[in-house]
Amino acid sequence: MYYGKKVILRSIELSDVDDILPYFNTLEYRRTIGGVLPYTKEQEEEWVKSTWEGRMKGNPYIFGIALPDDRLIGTVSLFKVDKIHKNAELGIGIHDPNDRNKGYGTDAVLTICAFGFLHLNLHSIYLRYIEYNKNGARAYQKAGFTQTGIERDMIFRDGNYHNFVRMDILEREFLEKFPDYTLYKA
Amino acid sequence: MYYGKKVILRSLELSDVDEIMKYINSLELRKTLGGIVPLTNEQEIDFVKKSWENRMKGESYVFALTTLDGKFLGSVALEDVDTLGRTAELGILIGDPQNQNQGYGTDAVIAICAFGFQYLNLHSIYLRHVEYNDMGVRAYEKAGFTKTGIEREVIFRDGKYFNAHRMDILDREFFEKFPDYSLYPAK
Repeated sequence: MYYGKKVILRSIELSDVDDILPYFNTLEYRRTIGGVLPYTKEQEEEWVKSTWEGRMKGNPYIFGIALPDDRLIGTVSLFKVDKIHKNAELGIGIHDPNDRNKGYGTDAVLTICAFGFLHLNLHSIYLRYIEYNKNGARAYQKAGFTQTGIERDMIFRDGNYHNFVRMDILEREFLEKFPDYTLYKA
Repeated sequence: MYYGKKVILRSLELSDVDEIMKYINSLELRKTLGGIVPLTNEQEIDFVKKSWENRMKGESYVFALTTLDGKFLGSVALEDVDTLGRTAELGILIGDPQNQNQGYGTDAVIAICAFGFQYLNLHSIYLRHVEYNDMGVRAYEKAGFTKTGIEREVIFRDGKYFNAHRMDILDREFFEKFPDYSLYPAK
């Protein structure tokens, strides 16, 4: 649907669940995102359905990240969409460690920012990552995000408290950095 | 119920709604708070009742704020309580401008932090405020909060975008700054 340079953002289908689960229920994947509890196939299917509803309601916008051969490698989202203050929080996960460090994440971040700024008319997109998530930090910097603060000891993981790092990008900064970005197929 | 030095934190009662209605629909007050749409008497009654439920569930702790002799000032809250990460967000409002700048807000912030750290076993309490809320900043700094970041242009108010500022305090910092703080009435 929305074409980046390396990835395509599209709806997550129920048929993607079998590809998602093996990577989703690993502590290695979960340590950089929200909760650490396992998800069942039924819960994941409910979640996929909830992404369809959220999108129609205008919050959240959750998309699958697919390669040109349509293989789903992760998900990316704009959530906490605030229609008055025109901002949203960005979240992303690349499921298989073998698909990381190849520029897919950076491209997915850019693509969903373009979607947010060019089509949702957002003013600001922000994100938070756990300080040890160096992969994420690199991708966000490449996509033009700047660090605006930390949230000290906000997450307890692996027996310790860790800081969240907060970053954001404003509409004018994105449009200046990527003036001709398009979501149409090249 | 919980005694600060200048204020008392207690349950919000339905009989407080009349007092709340005197100030809640002032745009001047709302400028530093969440939304800017008017709230009705019935909505405030629901808000008060909801505060009882959420407290029993441990999801948020909203208290009425009064002077030591019982005059109603406003409310103070710990919200978004995360029982796993042991964090919560602080919010406070003092309705009548005549009751501002008298140290009530600072004392209320310290008292609810004492409640959070001494009784809820929280690890961190954080807050966000609009950048132009200078009165808030002074109170938060006196209560030991430090600024940890800004959220650029996330609040649209009076026709312009403003930054939000984020501050937080950790349990060990609070205990060091206020080692003997007690929520019991002074003897």
